[in-house]
Amino acid sequence: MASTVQARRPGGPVRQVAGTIAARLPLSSHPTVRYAVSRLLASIGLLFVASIVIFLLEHLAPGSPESVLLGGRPATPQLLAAIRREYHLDAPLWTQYWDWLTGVLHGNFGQSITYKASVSSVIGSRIGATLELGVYAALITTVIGVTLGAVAALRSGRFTDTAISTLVVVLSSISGYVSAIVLLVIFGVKLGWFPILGTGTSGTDRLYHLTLPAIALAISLIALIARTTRASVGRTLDVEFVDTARSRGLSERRIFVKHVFRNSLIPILTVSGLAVGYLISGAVLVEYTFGLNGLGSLLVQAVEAKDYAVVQGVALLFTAVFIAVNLIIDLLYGLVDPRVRIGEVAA
Amino acid sequence: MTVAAEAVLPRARRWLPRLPGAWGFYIGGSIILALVIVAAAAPLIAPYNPNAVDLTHTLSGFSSQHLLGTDAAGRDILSRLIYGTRLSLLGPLAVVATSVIVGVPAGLVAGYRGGWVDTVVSRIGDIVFGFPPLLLAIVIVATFGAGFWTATVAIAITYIPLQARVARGVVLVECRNAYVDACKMQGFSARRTALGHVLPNVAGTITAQSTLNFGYALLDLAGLAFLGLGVQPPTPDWGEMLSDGRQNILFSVNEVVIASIAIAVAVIAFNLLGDSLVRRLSRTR
Repeated sequence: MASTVQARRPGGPVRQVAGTIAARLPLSSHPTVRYAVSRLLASIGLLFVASIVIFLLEHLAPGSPESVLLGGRPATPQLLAAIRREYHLDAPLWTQYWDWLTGVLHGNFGQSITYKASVSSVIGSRIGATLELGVYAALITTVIGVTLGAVAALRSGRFTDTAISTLVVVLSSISGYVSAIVLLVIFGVKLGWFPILGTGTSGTDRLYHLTLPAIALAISLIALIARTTRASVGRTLDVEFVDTARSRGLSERRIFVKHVFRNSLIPILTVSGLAVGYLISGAVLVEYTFGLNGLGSLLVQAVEAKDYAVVQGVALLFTAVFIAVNLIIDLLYGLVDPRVRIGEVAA
Repeated sequence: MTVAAEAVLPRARRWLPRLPGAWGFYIGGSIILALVIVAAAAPLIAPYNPNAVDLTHTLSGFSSQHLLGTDAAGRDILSRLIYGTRLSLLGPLAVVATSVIVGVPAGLVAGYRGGWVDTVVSRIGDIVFGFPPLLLAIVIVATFGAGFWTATVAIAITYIPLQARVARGVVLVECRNAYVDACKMQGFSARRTALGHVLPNVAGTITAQSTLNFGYALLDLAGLAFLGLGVQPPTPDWGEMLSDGRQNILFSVNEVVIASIAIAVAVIAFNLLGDSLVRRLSRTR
C-alpha cells in the first residue's frame, strides 16, 4: 500500500536545489540550520510558482481580462478604461504580476466585485469560521485516528483489529461531503439535535453549530490517520528494541508510550501534511453543505459570481497555509528524528 | 515469495483469486460490472424520462409508481439515478484514461532515463502537489466556467502528476532488477527495454493505482458537481442530484440520501477492487 498510494506533498526535487543554495549560506555549518533553511527556501520557491499559476489562470480565461474583471457589470467605456487603469492591463504581463504580488505581500488582494469591499476585509470577516472548523476537525481527527490505529496495531490480528480495519475501509470511502450530508440528514433534519445551517453566534453556540461539520470533515481523515498509525505502530512493534524493553521487564504501557509511539511518529507526521490538504478541500465542501460563512463557501460563491480577485485571494491563502503547514511538519521531523536533520535519512 | 508461487499457476488462476481471501475482488468487481450495465442500458431500465417534470407529484416519498420517490420538480429519482450513472462513470473514466495516457509515459521516461527529463517531470508534479487537492481544480473551473468537461479536465490535470509519480516510483524500483541490466547488456535499445520489458512488469501496479484513482476521481467530480461547478442541472448526475437535493433537504431527504448512497457504494466498490488488485498485482510490496 504505502509504496503505491502516493502522498501528495509539496517538496521533492525542489528541496535539492534549495539544499545547495542553503549550503552556501553563513551559519550553514550547523546541520539543523542548514536543513531548516533549505526547507524554508524550497517552500518559498514553491509558493512563488503557485502564485504565478494562480495569477496566470485569470489571463487564460476566455474573453478579455476586462470582461472577466467586469464580472457582470455593464460594460461602459468609462468603466472599461477605469479597469484598464486600475489593473495596469496595458502594461506587460510580468509587470502586472509584479504589481499584484507586491500588493498581496502588503495585504492588498484587490477589490471584490460582488462585495464592493477589499478582498482582504472580505477574507478577514470569513476566516474565523474556517479556522475554528479546521482546528476542531483536526483535533477530532488526531485523537480518534491515532487511538484507533494504535489500538488496532496493539490488538493485531484479533477481533478489535478486524473491526477497526473494516471501519477504516468504510470511512475512507466516504468523502467529507457525503458524510456531511448523512450527518446533516440524521442529526440535523431527522433527530433535530444539531442546527442545520449557519455558524452560530459565539462561544458555546458556535461550538454547537460547528460540531456536526467538524465531525463530517474529520470522518474521512480519521481513516487516513488510523491506517497510517496502524501500519507505523505495527512496524515499530516488530523492531528488536521492543523485545529488549520487554526482556528488561518494562511495563507494556511504558514500552508503548516511551519507545514504540515516538518511533512511529514520522509516517504519522508525513500523512498529517497530506491530511491538512484534505482538510482544506474538505472544508470547502463541508462549509457549503452546512451553509457556514467561511472561506470555503466564499470561494464557491466567488467562483459562481466570477469574482476573480476573491478566488485568487482565497486560493493563494489556502495554498500558502498548505505549504506552510508542510514546512512546519518537515521541520518537526528534525525534532522527532535527529537523523533527518543531519541528513542521514531522507524525510 | 508469492511471485515464485504465482509463476507456476496458470494465468487464469492468478487473475481470478479464490473467494475467501479475495472477497473484495468479487464484491467490488460485481458492483462495478452492475453499474456499467445500468449505465449502458439506462434507457431500457429507467421507468421514466429523467427530465420529465411533473409538478403535481413533487417531493413524493417511496411509492409503487415512483419507487424512490420524486424530486422538487416531480422528476423520478430512480430514473435520474439510473441515467446519472452514465456521466458519473464517464467523468472518472476520462480522468483515469487521460492520467494514464499522459502520466504513465511521463513517469516511465522520468524513471528510466533519469537526468533532466526526470527533473522536469518531477518539478511539474511538485507544482500541482503544492496546491491542496481539489483547490487547483476549483481555480481552473473558476477560469474556464463550470461544466462537465471543464470539471473533468480540471480533475484530470491534478491526477496526471499523481499517476506519473506512481509510474516513476515503480519504474525506479523495477530497474534495480537484474533483467534490466541483462537487456542493456544484450544491446537492446532503451525504447525496447522500457516498453517491452519494464512496462509490462509495472503494468499491474499501475492498473491497481488506476482503479483506486477511479473511485477518488468519481468522488472529486461528484464534489465539484455538488458545489455547482461540475455537471450542470438539469443533466442527471449523482453529484448534481446531491446539489439539487441539498436545496430541498428540509422538505425531503430522499434525493440527497439516495445520491449519497450511490456515490458511497461506487467508491467502496472501486476501493475494494483496487485494494485487492494492489495486493495481487503489485510487485513492490
